[in-house]
Formats: sequence, C-alpha cells, structure tokens
Amino acid sequence: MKKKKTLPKEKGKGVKYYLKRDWQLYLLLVIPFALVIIFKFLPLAGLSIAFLDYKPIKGFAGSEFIGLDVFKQVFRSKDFYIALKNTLLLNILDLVVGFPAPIILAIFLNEIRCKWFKRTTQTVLYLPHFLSWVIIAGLAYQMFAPLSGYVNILITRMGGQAVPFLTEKYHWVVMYVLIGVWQSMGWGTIIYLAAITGIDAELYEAATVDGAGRWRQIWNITLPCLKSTIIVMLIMSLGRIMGSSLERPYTLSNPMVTQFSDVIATYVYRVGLQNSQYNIATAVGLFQSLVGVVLVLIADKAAKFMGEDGIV
Amino acid sequence: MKLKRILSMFLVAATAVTMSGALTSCGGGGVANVDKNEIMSRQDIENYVYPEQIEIKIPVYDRGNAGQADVTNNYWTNYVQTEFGDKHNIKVTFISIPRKEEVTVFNQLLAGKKENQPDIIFNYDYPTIVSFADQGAFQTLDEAMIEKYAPHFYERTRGLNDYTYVNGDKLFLAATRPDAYNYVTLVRKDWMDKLNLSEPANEDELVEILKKFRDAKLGGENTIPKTFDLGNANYGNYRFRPYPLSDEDNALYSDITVASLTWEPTKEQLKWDNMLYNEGLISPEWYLDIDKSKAREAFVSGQAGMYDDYLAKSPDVINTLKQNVPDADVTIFTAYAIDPNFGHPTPSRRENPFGMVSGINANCAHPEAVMMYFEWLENNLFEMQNGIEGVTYTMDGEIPVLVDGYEGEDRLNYNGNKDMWCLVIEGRDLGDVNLNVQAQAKSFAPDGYEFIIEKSYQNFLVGDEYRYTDYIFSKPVESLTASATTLLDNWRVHKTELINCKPEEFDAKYEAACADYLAAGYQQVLDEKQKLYDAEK
Repeated sequence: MKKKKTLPKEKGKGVKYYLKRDWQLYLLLVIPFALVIIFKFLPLAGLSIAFLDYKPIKGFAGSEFIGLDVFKQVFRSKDFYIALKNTLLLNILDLVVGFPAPIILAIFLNEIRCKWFKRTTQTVLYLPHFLSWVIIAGLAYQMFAPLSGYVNILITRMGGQAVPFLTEKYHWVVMYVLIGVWQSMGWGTIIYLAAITGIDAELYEAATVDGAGRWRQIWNITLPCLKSTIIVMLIMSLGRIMGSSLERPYTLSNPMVTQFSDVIATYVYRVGLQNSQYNIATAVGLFQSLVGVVLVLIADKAAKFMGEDGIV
Repeated sequence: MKLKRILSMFLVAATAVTMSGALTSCGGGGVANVDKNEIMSRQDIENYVYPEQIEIKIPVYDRGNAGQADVTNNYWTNYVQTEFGDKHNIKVTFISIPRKEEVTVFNQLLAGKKENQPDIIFNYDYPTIVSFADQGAFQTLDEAMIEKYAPHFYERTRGLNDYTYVNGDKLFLAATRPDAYNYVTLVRKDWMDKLNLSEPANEDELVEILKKFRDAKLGGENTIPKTFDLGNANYGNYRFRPYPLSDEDNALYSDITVASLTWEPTKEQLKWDNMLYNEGLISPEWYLDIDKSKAREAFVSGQAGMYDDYLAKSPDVINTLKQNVPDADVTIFTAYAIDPNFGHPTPSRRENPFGMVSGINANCAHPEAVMMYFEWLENNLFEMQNGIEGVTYTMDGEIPVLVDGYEGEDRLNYNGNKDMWCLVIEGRDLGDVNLNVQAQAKSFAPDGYEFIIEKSYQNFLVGDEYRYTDYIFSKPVESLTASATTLLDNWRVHKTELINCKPEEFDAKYEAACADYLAAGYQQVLDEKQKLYDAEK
C-alpha cells in the first residue's frame, strides 16, 4: 500500500478493483446500509399482517390469508372516516398556523440586536420542545380546565364567564393548534436562523445604501433568500399531513371532544393495539404511509414546477 | 485478500451462531424427551428429582411501582428456586409481564420463539383468557394428571371446574377468590356531626345529605358532596335492575367489559347521575378524571364529602386527609337494609368466584412440573404471603400482621407477593371468615379504622342474598374482543354527554346516543351474545 503515492487514474476498471482500493470506505458504508436494511426494509415484511387474519400465536405462516378483507372492513368503518377527517383537519390547521410561525419568529429573532437578549429568548423558546406531551397536557389542563383551571379562575374572579377551552370541541381545536405552535415554534426556528446566517451581508449593505428600511430588507432580501429552505420544509410538512403523532391528540383529548380529537394514530392505537387487531392497525398504517408518499411526490413536482430543487 | 479474510471471518461467526442455535434446540429436545410414564409411576412426587435439569417459565406481573424489587429476580423468586426448584432439579425462570400491557406482551411472547415462551398464560379477565384459548394457545389438561401432581390445589379449587372447560376440553386452572371487604364508600363523619345528620336509610335520603353537604360548603367554596369519575365499562346500574334478573338479561347486558347503554336500567342510572350532576352533588369535572386521581385528591384535601375506593394502607387516604384537615374523621354508612323500591336490600354484583385464570402453554414440555409448582405454592401459601416471622410479619393472636414499611432485602413484593401466589388464590384465607375479616381489617385499614372493614363485612352480609353472578359464556364473544375498547371510548363520550346535559334534553340525547352506540358495534355484540346464549340453552 505504501508504495502507491498517486491515485490510479485507469478507466474501465471493474467493481473488484474499486472495492479493493477503497475497501475501508465501503466497510464504513456497510454500517448505515445495514441499519437501513435491518430497521427500515426488513420490517416491511410485517406489512403482510394487513392481508392475514393475523393471530400472534399462529404466526405469519399459520394465519389465514384473507386478501383485502381488512381494508374493506376499515373503509366501511365510520370511525375510520372520522379519524381520517380529523387527521386532515388538525394537520391542515397545524400547517396553516404552525408552518409560518417559526419563519416569522426566526426573522424577528434575527432582527434583535441585543445579543444576550436574543440568546436568552432563543433558549426559552426551545424549552417546550423538550417537554413530553404528557407533561404539556397536564399543564394545559391545570391552566385551562373549565372550573379548576387557573385561567378560568382568574376570568370568573374578574366577573367574566368561564371559557370551556378544552371541553368544547371548537375551542379545543383552537387550543390544540395553539399549544402545538407553542411547543414546536422555537425549535422550528433553528433551521431558518441557520439559513438567515448564510445570507450574504453585502446584500443588506447594498439595500441600506439604496435606502431600504428594515421591513423592505426583510421582504426583499431575507424572505427571497429563505425561499428554497421554506419550500423544502413545506414539502416535508406536506408529507406529514396524513401522519399523526399519538401523544398530542391522545393526551390532550377528553370525552367531550373525541368528535374532533380522534385521529388515525389514536384510532390505530385503540382498535389495533388495545383490541389486539393487528391487521387493522397495519392496514391503516400502510394506507397512511402510501398517501403520505403520494403527497410528498405531488409537492415535490409542484416545487420543481416553480423552479425549485425539490427533494427527490 | 483482506476482503476475503474479513468475509471468511463473517462466515465463521455466522456459522458459530447458527451452530449454537442448533445446539440449544438439540438440548431442548433432549429435555423434552424425559419419559413421562417413568415420572408418573413414581410414588413420591414430592421428592422427585429430574435426572436432567428442566426449566419452567412462570409469568409474573410487573406493576412498575416505585421502589419495588426486580419482579423476576428478588429474595422471593430465589426462595422459590431454592425451596422448590432445586429440590426437583427444576430451574424456575420468571418472566415479567407489564400489568397494563399484559395482552400485548403475552401476544408478543407467543409470537416469538418457543424457547422464550412462558409455560403459563394467565389473565384475570375471563373473555381474554378464552380468546387465548380460541387461538390455540393452551394444551388440554388431564384432570388425573392435575390431581396427581397437585392434589391439594386440585382439591381446593375443584368447585371452579365449570369455569375451566372450553368446549368440553379442560384448558384452565382457576384460582379461588376469597371474599374481600375493602371496597368502601368513605364519608366525612365530622361533616355529618357538624350538620347534625343521621345515616341515610335509602338513596333519596342520601341525596338529601349530599344537598346539605353542598349548601354547607364545609369543604370550601368548591365543595364536592360526592366524588365521581370517568370510570370504565363497568357502570353500576344495579339499583334499577329488575330483581330477580332473568338469565337471558344477565347474559346479554350484565357485563363488566362492555357498558349496556341501551338497557333500561342503564338509562335510569344515567338519569339519576344526570340529576346528581345538575344539582351540583358530584365532581363537576368528573369526565376529566380518567384514573380517579382527581377524586382522591379532592377527598384527601378535604374538599369532598364522600369517596369510594379500595381501602388500602398505601395510599393511605384516611391519614393523608387527617394531615391536611386535622379535625377530619371518616366512617362508612350502614347498608340500607331495606330499599323501599324493592322491599329488600339493593341487589349488587357478586365478584367472580375465580381469581386468576391460567392455562398451560401448548408448547410447554413439562405440564407436570408446572403442576408441581402450583402444588408447592398451595402448600407454602403462608410463607409466600407473609414472609418471615419477626421480620416481615408479626403474629397478633392467630392473625399474621405485615410489618409496615419494611425495606430489607427480604421484603415482600407488591401486595404481599400477591403476583406470585395469585396463581392459586386471590387473597389471604385463614380458613375462617371472622379471622379473615380481622386480618383484612389489619391489612387494609389504617390503625384505629379497623371498624370500617368490620362494618363493610356486616354490610356485605346484609346484601349477600341479593347478588348476581355474571353469566359466563364458554366461548369467546368475538365481536366483543374485537370492539371492547372502541365501545368503551364511545360509551365514555355518551356517558359524559348524557350526565352533563340539561335534564329536559336527556331523552332526545339518549335516543341518539343509543343509535350511535349500537352502530359502533354494540348491536353486533348483542346479536352474538344472543346467538351464543340460545345455543347454550
């Protein structure tokens, strides 16, 4: 090995040659490759549960093949449509309200001139991201319960009427979205702040010389420079519009609002796991992922149509 | 060259793994081949020693309580190994089963390798264990075998035989359930005294008492006369049931795993609770209290007048209340001997006569060893329940009293090792009702409040004649297994809606709720139950 001081330039060498030359690199590649295969691709075999009358004791081989019966059962169930509708509703609201929030916040943070104040604010804004939803929901009910919540105690003491923040379905949806924004907004700014740092300072200088004020600079420099980041983030968010986390709706829900709080994740948990109907859980999960992939592809096409890079 | 060397190393490693796998399974096969007839012919099973060590795997609940020892490896599991296992050359391995995910975990274990499966699968819930049976999880047991290897256990649990057969096959081993008297409704005695109230003779008088609690505001501005919580599918509507209840109604509607929203008694009970809610007599935020924690909090903080729960030394509700409100005192009401609505005591539900129901895994190679373990538990119950005299318990006359807060290495596991001996019995039984009552008074009630358990026992006797035993189907009600939690969620929504609505809206909302509940799967459950019932009659 030591003898070779220059990299070989020969063309048309076989795979073997490169394997031999760069085997250390290929060996390193094996690790992430194996991880993806083992944890992402091999479990796909489990999707077959969706087509079986799956009984854990009988296993894959022993369970009867029932084709698309499970999907038929799911698509006939009223609860599934309610969950689907709620998933879309809550996620679209999250997208509409929650997506711009970190962008706006990042721009505001960027405008803060006082260094220590900016840093402290950022840290405080990140904190909710590290709280588990169980704790956030606990806090929310402490604050907003109809009678014993602090906010309502304050309102009633001041002579007002208690507001059913979490116990009336429309109020609940608003609270759900706002709490979500509160939790994720600060963390979401990181990527935008990083992108803003990358903007050439000369652009701002030039704009100042041309007499552009702060707002002008934001509108004509910061936002256009953020455009590609925003679009990539948007595509990724669109991919999640069919997905849903279990913790947030599950912990924030209560029997007064299940009409809006039952989403696909809670439906899968209840029907699939608590009732041990694993095939239904798998079928719904599969459906959800397929729609998610389609949405991402559509969004990607749209991005390319608008002249952006896209992610595929 | 190097690539080749690495590849060959991988190959060697892979072969080694496969080989060792093959070796283990060979070993397993060898153990399984011990001639059972040879064991059967042995006279003295108690002293039988397996020529080659065998292993039995026993599941045990892990309740995730703070400060508990590892449920699979602690003083008492080691005690089982030395006192039972080593004598017979049996390795007893405990498998931890998280209490709240038991069905999922058993399913996972049973879907996994045979070597890792527990030899017993158990559940307190009869429909659940029947559904395991339905999937073919168990082996058919031979009563003669049970009698041979676990004679004392067999003899004592014989009365439960009806529950251990499915479609004519003996599949289950059922533990007995001695009566427990610690489910009580605590009342603030100091409030009763201050308001000069006497015990109610019926529900209507109880409502009057609650109204006085409400108006007197002895628990502060937000006094809760009686706590109420979201609860599960087991909704107590006994007061409005016809008595005696027909077998068919019992089979169709009396079920603790699914609420009978559409049944008339449930409607009446909901109406009653609606009245209590609108009168401001129960916790106003009851529907947010999913685990009764808010109810307990309200009671121990002195805000509530009545609270029902299992009395226990931990959490010690009574003493916590007294710490928070020094002049507080509690009692329980005497059962209303005669209910004017019936002319006899209010009927109620009789606990199932069985406790834990277990079955032996179809893949278990040594059912006889498992039975020997049951027999050992049966014969060593006292030690397993109480531990070591002078360390974990002391004798008070004929009654063993557990030492509170003992922290040593040899401390008993949760609830006096209950999760280990629950296979054979569900509670302590000293062989005499009076002794049992005294023992329960000492183990459940804090010092000075033993009278609560004694009174609870007297109340139990008053209503004993008028109890329902749940109808048990010998086949799983499949639609129920499939939709139990869906229906529970649906029920909670409608229960909340119906109890919290204005009284004049009740009837219309009830109709709509019933239609929705039936469509959500309850109709299917009822139809299937009806079919099973007709077939069994």
